[in-house]
Amino acid sequence: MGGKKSHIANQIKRVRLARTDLTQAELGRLIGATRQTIIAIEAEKYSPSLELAFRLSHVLNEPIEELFQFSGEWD
Amino acid sequence: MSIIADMSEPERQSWVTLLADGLVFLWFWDAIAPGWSFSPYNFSPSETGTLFFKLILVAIFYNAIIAAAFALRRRKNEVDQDERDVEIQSFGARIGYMALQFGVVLVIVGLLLSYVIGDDFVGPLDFYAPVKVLFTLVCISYVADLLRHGAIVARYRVV
Repeated sequence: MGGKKSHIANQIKRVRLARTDLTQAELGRLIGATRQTIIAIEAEKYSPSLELAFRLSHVLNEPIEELFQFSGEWD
Repeated sequence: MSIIADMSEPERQSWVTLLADGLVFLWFWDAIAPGWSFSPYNFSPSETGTLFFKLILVAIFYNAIIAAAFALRRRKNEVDQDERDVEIQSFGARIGYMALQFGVVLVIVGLLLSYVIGDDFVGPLDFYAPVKVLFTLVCISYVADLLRHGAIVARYRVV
């Protein structure tokens, strides 16, 4: 995947690897997303919906503002 | 990991449908306009009916086979489609719809010009015979569908 990066940065990969033993597929299954979507989110190619962001926050047990940061710029 | 193994199920289904649509479209085009020209062969009404009937049967058959094959592959407790897939499919549907609209407008303009100008109308396609109108409409429908699936598989590489 070689697309443009999103304006929303995230710490999903860091938090997932540091605080859980979850694989991308397992995390996807827990939040109702495919492994490919987790890959795209971690690569910051895809910004999840607010609901999916909250599900990630819930499953990873991290406040949403710790997981996602807005760059403050947009097109 | 190979590119195919890394695809989600909806992405794989779009690829398979794109290839099947492309092959069937090439077969139909060659059958109705030998050598893939823009002038359909002057078929009799019964030959035209038979050819379009075959196309409808083939289209139903391969779409059913693809849908059944992907339904059988679906595993319990596996997420096989999510919001990203829905968003990408909506993007493809929008592209396909715009192509279809554009094609239909072209046919309307062509029909109007054929009717208003009559024998003096010289265009890449004329609409004097029903088989030509049918050929053009099927082409537009297939091209729009190919663009839809093409846009989907391209979008999967971007987001």
